[in-house]
Formats: sequence, C-alpha cells, structure tokens
Amino acid sequence: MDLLLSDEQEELRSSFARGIAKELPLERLHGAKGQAADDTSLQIFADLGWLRVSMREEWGGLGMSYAEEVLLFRELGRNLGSLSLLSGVLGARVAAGAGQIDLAESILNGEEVGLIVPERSQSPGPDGAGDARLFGAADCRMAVVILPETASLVDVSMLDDDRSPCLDDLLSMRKFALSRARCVAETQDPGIWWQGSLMTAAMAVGLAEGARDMILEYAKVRQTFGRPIGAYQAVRHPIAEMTARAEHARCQTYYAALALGMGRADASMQVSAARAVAQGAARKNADANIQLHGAVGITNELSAHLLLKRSLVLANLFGSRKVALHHVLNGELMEV
Amino acid sequence: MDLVYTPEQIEFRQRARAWLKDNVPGPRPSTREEAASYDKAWQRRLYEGGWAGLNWPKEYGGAALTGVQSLIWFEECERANAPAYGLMSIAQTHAGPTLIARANEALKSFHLPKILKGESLWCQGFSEPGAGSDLASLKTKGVIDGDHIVVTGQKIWTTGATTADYQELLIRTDPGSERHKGLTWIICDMRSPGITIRPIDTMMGESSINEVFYDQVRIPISNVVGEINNGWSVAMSTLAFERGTTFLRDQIRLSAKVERAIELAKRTRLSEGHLAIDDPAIAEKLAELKAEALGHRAMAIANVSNVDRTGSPGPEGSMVKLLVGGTYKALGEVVTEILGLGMLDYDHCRASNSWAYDFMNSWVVTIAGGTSEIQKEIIADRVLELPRAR
Repeated sequence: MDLLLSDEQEELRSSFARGIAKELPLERLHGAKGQAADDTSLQIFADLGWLRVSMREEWGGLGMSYAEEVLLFRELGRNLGSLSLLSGVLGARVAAGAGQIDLAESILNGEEVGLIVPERSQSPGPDGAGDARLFGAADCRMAVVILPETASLVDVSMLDDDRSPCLDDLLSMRKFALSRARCVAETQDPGIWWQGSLMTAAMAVGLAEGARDMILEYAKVRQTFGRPIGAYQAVRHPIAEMTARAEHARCQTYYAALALGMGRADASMQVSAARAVAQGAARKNADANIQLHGAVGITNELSAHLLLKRSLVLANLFGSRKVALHHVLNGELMEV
Repeated sequence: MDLVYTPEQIEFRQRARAWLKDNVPGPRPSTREEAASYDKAWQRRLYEGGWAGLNWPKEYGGAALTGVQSLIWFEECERANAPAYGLMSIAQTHAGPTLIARANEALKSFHLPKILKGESLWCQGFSEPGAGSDLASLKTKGVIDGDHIVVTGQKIWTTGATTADYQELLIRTDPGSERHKGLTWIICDMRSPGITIRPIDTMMGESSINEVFYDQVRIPISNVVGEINNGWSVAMSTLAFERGTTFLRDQIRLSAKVERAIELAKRTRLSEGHLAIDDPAIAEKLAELKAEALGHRAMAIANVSNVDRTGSPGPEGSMVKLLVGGTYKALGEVVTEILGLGMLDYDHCRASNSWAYDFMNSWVVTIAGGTSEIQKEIIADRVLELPRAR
C-alpha cells in the first residue's frame, strides 16, 4: 500500500517529461493562432515506444500498467499535446482486441488515428445516425469511437477536409454524421472507455499543474506597488489553492490508475472521482492563471487561454461531469 | 506504487478488528467530568491492549506503528465506531511526543507512563488573545525566582483546561526578547495556586475551550522541557516522529460523514415533497463531496507512503488540512439544504442534532490548529517559495 513512484517509475516519468518538453515546448504556442505544427511529435513518440506502455505484450506492448501510462498523459496535458497519442493508444487496443494485429502494429508505429466524440452519449454507434465530432489530422484514414460498452475503429477517409472552427484551435475538429463512417474493427471491451477516461483525467492533472506553474513563475518576477506580486496574499493564496487542487487531483488519478489496473470492484467509481476532481482542478486553475496575470491573461500573446480552452475539450471526452458524478454517487466504497 | 496490503498488514487489520470488536465502549457522556473519565478509561483499555502511543517509539512504551498500520488502525476504529482520543488527545498526540523528543529522563519517566495508561490529562497553553496565528508574539511571562519560574499572563482557546492535570505551557522567560527568542516550554500543574480557568461559550452551546489566567503561578524549574529560553525549538520538535497520521483520522471520519449524508438524503424529504437524493442539485453536490473525499484518501495514503519511505511528511501534509476543511464546510452546507427546517432543531449540545453541531464545527475545522489562511501561507512559503511581504 504505497502511492509513491518507484525508482523505475520516477525514471520513466522523468524521461516522459524531458521528451515532451523537448518536442512540445510550451513556447511553441507563443502567439499561436492556428494548429500548432506538432504532428511530427506523434511519430517521435511512437518511435520511442510510448504508444505501447500499457498494451499487452502479446499485442506488441510493453505490458506496463496504467500507473505508468498516466505519467505519460500527465506530461502531455501539461504541455498541451494533441489528442493523437490518446487516440493512438486506444485505437491500437481496439484493433488488437478485434484480432487485427497488423492494424494495431501500424497504429503503434505512428499511423495517426482520429478521436471521434459523439454528440449524444447514448449514441447508437457506427450503424445508427448520429452527429459526431472528429479530432485529428485531415489525412487520418481511421478514427476511434469509444463508448462505455463497445469500442470501434471506423474508416473516415471519405470525409472532406473542411475543418469546423474550434474554440481550441490547436485541435483540428470536423463535424460529421457517424452513420457515414464504416466500421473497420470492433471490440466489446468496457475497459477501453475507462482507460480513455483515466488518461483524460491524467491530462487534466497535467493541465492543472501547468496552469499553476505558469502563474507561479510570473508571480516571482512581475512587480506591482514595489514588490513581486507573489508577495501579496491576494495572489499567493490562490496559487496555494491551485497547488493543493492539483496535488489532490494527482493523488486521486494515481489511485484510480492502480484500482483500474487491479480490476477492483470500485475502479469505475475511482476513475470517475479522478475525472471529477481533475476536471475541477483544471478548470479552476486555468481560470486563476488568467485572472492573476491581469490584463495580459486574456490575450493570445500569453498561452494561458490555451489551457482554459483545452480544459473545456477534456471535459467533453469520455462522459460529462454529470456522468462521472453519477458513477461516484452510486459506487460502493470498498472496505480496504 | 500499489494498493495491495501485505500479508502482515492483513493480519494486523484482523488483529485490530478483533480487538476493537471486543473492547469498544458505549457512547461518550456529554458532561465534562464524565467525558474526562470516559476518555481516561478508554486510554487505559487501549494501553492494556497494546494500542497506546500509536506512533511513539517502542522504547517509550509506544506501539511504533508505521504509516500504513496507522491507516489500517484508524479505518478499523471508524468501522467499529471507536471513540476518538477526546480530552486525551493533547497528551497522546502532542505533549507525549514533545516530552519524548526533548524532556530529560526524570520528566519522561514520570509523565510518559501516566499518559500511556490514561492516568493524566493534558491541555495546551500556547495561544493568547494577542497571539494566535502569530504564536511567536506571545506575552505570558515567566520570571525566574530561585528554583521556580513565576508565571503571569493569560492563555486562550485551551481545550480541556478544567479537567486537565497538566499543561504544556509556552512562556516568555527572557524579558527583553522578541518573537521566537527567549521562550520556554514548561509543564504546568493545573492545580497550582494562582490559576483561574474561565470556560468560553461557543456557538455550539457545549464546548470545552477555556481562558486560563496565571497570577504569579509558581512552577518548579525542573518542569522545563529542553532549555530555558529555547522553548520555540521544543515546540517545533513536537512533530519529530509524526507519521502523517494527524489528518488520517480526520480524513477517514470525513469520508464516513459524507456516506452518512448520502444516507440522510435517501430518507429525508425536502419541503417541496421529494426525497433529497432525488433532487439533482443535491445529488450532484453529494457526489462531488464523495469524489473529494476519495481524493483526500489518496492524498493521505501518499502522505503516509512518503513518511514511511523518507521519514518525513511530503508536501501533501500542509495541503490535506486545507482541503479537508473545505470539504467539511461544503458538506455542512449541503446538509442544511437536505434538512431545511430540521437544521433548527438544536438544543445546545451535539446529542440533540449532530448535523447542526457538525455544521457549526466546520469553522473549528477551518480555524483551529492552523487556520486555512495560515495553511495557504505555509504552502506559499515552503512548497512554492513565493516571495514574502511579512
């Protein structure tokens, strides 16, 4: 019973952090208006084997646990990495689960798959009519649709390139009717939904920490009334709260990763609690980061708005807050 | 990182559970004197079962539990509805550890066995009307007169003063000194002549906090713990072998309270007629609090993991109190919505309406033992290393 990283896990975390800081430095977003050209990062991460972290060894994976994978997505969230790593991890698992090992391998090697988010959570799936949004590069030939009970890969090559304007314009988003997409691979595996939800929580944790990091640095250098703004309680107290929230979210997300990996009876409750807490931390921290920067906080010049906008995207993946809270309320506490 | 209990830890849990099943007493009486006897008797029973001095080193008669063992013990206590330390709390968790860390052998061999066996109750004489968050500005003075120190001044917020045998008293013994310098930590016998205790009425009706006045109270110099004029360092040594367990019990009880609030919502109708749990806003709020409580548990485990591995609490320690206070307060608020007029049925004591009591107690949680504002200062200073204005 231990919630600290082992030495190996700490090394892994550190290498994820270094790699992501190198390929996806926050500075690249400085004054960003359109999609940042970070598509090359997916191939680099694939070459490093990062899509394989929790994948079963017999499917080409490294056979590590969700605890390790959470470390990766936390760093990705911190640096506003695209969603392609998430859709790749999940897409490969769908393909392998459907018996299509070659397809899985192609995805693990860096073929980009998009992420489809149905408008309605009660979507009937690829065979029924329904609107959906597709996040991913225009040249993706496939995208992954993850629902609570089934997960599929669908062919999206027929869709045109017209992007829909997106509030978070670091992401490429298209709207389409799900019925148009032909199913390529399908698996009945509720675990994929929970894995997606958990990694979304992990990205929210990183985002919450990134927002805190941004204002913490600023508070030490920006001066007003003759002092660094971080000397004033009106500034240092909210940053302390941001820190406590991010820590709370991080601990719960790690705990949920362990519970999900063990297949514990309360795993879905724990992951849902991680979503609720991490999402709250991401939103509130993104908010405070803008507020405490003062006027420059609302400009495109500063990256703070990007953290806020990404937090809205994450909130809409793998079930809304209400869905998460429903699972929390109805989950039974385990006696451990 | 894992959530697996070792076979030894599982056996420990079974042992704790069995012992508690056979030994947990009935409900705690509400009058001060009876409550004091009850708390001492429970401590005596814990001692006989080997559960006294949970985190004290073995050489001082303690159980020397690890952080995870402490977690298990507190979970089993909650399950068995075991009483909290109550008036025994300061002796067990504060005075005892301080004596172990800094007192001489004579004081240790006299006081520690009495504390372990539940024979003496302690209270704390730190805060003053002019020195709360800024404890170092305390003014109660001690003047050396032969082999005594003569104390004059006032302490406040002293829980259990009327039933305590001894007090851990922090006084200013160097007349010209300021702030942390020139303080002395001394054991004060509460029956000494010159001590006047005045109970403080609180909004809850019943309480055990007091003002304590010292009018030329003579205390033997042999009661000094550590050195004269070095009392601040003694006060700082209290947490020397803290296992991160201070907030473990609070967090476990808060989680249990959230569950009870959910049960309350399932059987209470709102004035509109429907069950509180069927009200989406209330259900959502309760779910949020349950999610927060799960997160507190994860933080508490991270905290004890850190202590077990490194010997000292991690940064989570200073954040847990802040967050637990926030959840406790929000829980009180949603319960006011659930109970409606029922919240008004309160008659000066917890037994009349525990939810109303807990609602008012939420301010004790966010103020006592370091206010939420001070917790934020601690995080800002020590975790974030932000510049200071004070």
